[in-house]
Amino acid sequence: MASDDDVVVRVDAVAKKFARSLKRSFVYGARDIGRMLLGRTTDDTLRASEFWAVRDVSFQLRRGRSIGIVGQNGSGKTTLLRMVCGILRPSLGSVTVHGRIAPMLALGAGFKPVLSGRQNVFLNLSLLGVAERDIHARYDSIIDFAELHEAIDAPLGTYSSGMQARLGFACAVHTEPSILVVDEVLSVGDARFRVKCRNKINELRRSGTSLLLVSHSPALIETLSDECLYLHGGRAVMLGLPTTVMRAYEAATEGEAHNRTNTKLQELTLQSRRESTELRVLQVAFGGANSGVDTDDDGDDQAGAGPTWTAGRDAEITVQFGGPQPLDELSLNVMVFDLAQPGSDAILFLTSSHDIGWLRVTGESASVRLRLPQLGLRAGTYRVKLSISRTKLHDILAVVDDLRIVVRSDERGTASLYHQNRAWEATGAVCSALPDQAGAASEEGALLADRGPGRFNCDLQIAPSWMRRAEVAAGLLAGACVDNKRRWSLADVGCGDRKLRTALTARALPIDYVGFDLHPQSPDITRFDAAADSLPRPFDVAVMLGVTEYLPDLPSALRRLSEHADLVLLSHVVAERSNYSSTQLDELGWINHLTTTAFKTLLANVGLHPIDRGLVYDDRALLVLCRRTSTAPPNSSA
Amino acid sequence: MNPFAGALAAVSLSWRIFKRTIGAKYRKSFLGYFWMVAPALLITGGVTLASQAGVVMPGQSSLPQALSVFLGTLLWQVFAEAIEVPHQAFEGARSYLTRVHFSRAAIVLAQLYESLLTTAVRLTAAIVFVAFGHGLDVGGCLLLPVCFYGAVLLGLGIGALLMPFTQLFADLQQTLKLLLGYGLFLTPAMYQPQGDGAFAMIVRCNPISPLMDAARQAAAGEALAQPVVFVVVLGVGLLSTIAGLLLVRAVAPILIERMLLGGR
Repeated sequence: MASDDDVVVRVDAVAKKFARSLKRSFVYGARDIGRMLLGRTTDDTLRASEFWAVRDVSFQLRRGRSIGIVGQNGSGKTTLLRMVCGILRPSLGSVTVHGRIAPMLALGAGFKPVLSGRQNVFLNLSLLGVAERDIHARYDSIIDFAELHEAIDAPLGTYSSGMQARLGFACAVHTEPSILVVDEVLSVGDARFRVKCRNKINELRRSGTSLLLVSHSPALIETLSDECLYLHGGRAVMLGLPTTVMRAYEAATEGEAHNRTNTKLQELTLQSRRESTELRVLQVAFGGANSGVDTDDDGDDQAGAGPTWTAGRDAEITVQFGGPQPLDELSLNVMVFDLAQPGSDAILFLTSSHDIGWLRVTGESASVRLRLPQLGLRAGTYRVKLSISRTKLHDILAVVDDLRIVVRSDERGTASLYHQNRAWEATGAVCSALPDQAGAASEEGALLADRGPGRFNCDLQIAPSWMRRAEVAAGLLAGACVDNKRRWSLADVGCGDRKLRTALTARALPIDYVGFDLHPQSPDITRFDAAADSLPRPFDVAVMLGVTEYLPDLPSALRRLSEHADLVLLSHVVAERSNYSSTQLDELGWINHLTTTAFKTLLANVGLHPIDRGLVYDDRALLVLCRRTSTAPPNSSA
Repeated sequence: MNPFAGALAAVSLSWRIFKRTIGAKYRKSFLGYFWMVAPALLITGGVTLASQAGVVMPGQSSLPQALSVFLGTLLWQVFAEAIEVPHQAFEGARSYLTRVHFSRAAIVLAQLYESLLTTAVRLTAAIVFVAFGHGLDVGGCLLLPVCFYGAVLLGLGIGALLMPFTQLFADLQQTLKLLLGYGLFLTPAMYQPQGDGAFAMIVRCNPISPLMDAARQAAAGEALAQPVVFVVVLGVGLLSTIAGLLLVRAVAPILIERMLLGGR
């Protein structure tokens, strides 16, 4: 357990109430002043028109760590950050901060336009609590960073917004903060400067600065934060590993988007029955790869919940429209907006007249299908706006706006702006294991320690390092099947959320994947036998990742597995490399914790011969690809 | 942080803010210091003309009438501006207050330094005018600054005690502005109230009146007519300033919260 000295921000059951009515909020303000003068504390009851913007949120930020905060607009993210920064006082609970905070709640703000850039630097850093002589010492570095050598003596009012943001960022990071509080500022300035900001933040983090980050970008949250806090309606819904929390957050966002679209489409049907205009949209349907194509799907998809597309796969929209009279020179226009970038232009603007010429509708209704092969949108939620226009001047006859479509992707946390299908080929070089994520194991340890003794936490199953393991496993399989002319069949036993499939897809290996879910995160592993029995046919490869540590009778389990496949790929966190204490093993719920030698002996005993291996988790876990020897030695225990 | 260290930090920060922002205020002005005394000069000229025409009957004073009006108006100006210091400080620093946490009393102090500076300019003008127009003895030279800075303290104290409420309620701020705009007529700046009428009572009870009278007596080289009242007013000024700054410090989060809410 990390010591308490390590905690730089401790947020303890904080709550903040606001009044919805502006006038009332001022009256309440006066009353609060009165209460304070009388020495009374604020109570936890809400007065008329008040609501909790943040309720009962607790977390601890440790030195050098980072927490990402996600949530929809109005979920209390900014209020929480303001309380951490000391700008707002919590109505209830407490915020304790050790160290200097560099708040980046709105860059370039707080500057005085009539003063020169130089004076603003001094003013800004003074407010941020930097001593005068330190400002003099850092001044050149600030100007270098902001790249404002020529303009620094001009009044700030003459600066472009980008220049102001640069100066603001430069000032904030030069306060030598122990805590950076970032609210979506990484989206300022041009691309080159954003890269610079990112690198600077990384540099600060490496030197031990903690980070509190609010962002709508899953990629940013997943790459920059160690833990993620999900706020909904002012309450902390979840606090855990970024991948897990982002998944829950995205699922909730998707659910909301689906509801919205479904309602909208129902309205459309009702409306079209009632109204009679020149032309109306009768029905909109989203189609794509998510329906039925994916036979080995894990079933946790909210199938049928709402329209979903998958990045890189085919997608389509079908629009049915019509009117009482025949119409000519029509065009169907489809606009797609990325909700992660509010206020930005349409990222897709497709016009049927431009692509295929005018549409003429002679009958009562017509149906137009727009097919989008290999969808290039990255994962996220999008707003779709449809319109039907006439003539070159695009007189709008009908509009359907605010439809939401969710795009999913097999790859997570991508930093790309759009999805690109791809294949890699290396000549004169072989692909060895993928780089393991440094610090992943210690990260896992820290999270375990934080939770204290108790049950094994399934969050760990989805740690980024586990994705790495799937990637290394895919690397081993790629090496084994590279000369194979036919497609392989693979059984992933205890597949959890099919990370291996994702990794195989990314490498475009000729492998057919079938997953058998064992819920290995539960200490109850008895379902293994049932699953092993249910394997329908011999497989080329059977894979068991993250399971060997839990199985009560590992030798017989492995023997059964090897009956179903010629190759077996296993992972095991080996004892001499990980050195987990018995308490930790208890927490993890592990029954087996073998040394490399013991594990190899076990493999030999059950008739498995290692042909390739890899290391993951800071080399703590062994990945072994084994071939079944023709004759297994008689039953013996490891 | 103990209160003393906190106060020290606030003073140090306020001084740095003041240094950086003082140039900005008169940056767009060519006449600079002139505007600090211009209103008093204008009113003096007006009252002198009106008095020559017999419209206004100023009371008897050993000081030349123009000087007496000038001193009174100047002192009122100092007082009225000091009342607005805390409110203006918060308004002007809105963009910092809502984004950065720092010692909130510092911005009021920084604004106060500005007020002290303009007061110094006005005081210098007053001393020069009195010295040339009437002659000034050493006692007067020492007492005049006390009157002027007493007015600053008194104004600042009242302003700081009112500020939380003027920030919350725009109506109150408008009322205060109106009072400060026309309040000059409720002081003995231009005329001495005669008799015991209600108006005369108001003028006499005006807290700035004793300071005005004292300033004139000091300028004229006379002994103070009401030394006790004078000292009491100074004491009230000092106490209200301390209480006001403590209040500002305590209620700042509540005000800042409303600034964010109002989006103003």
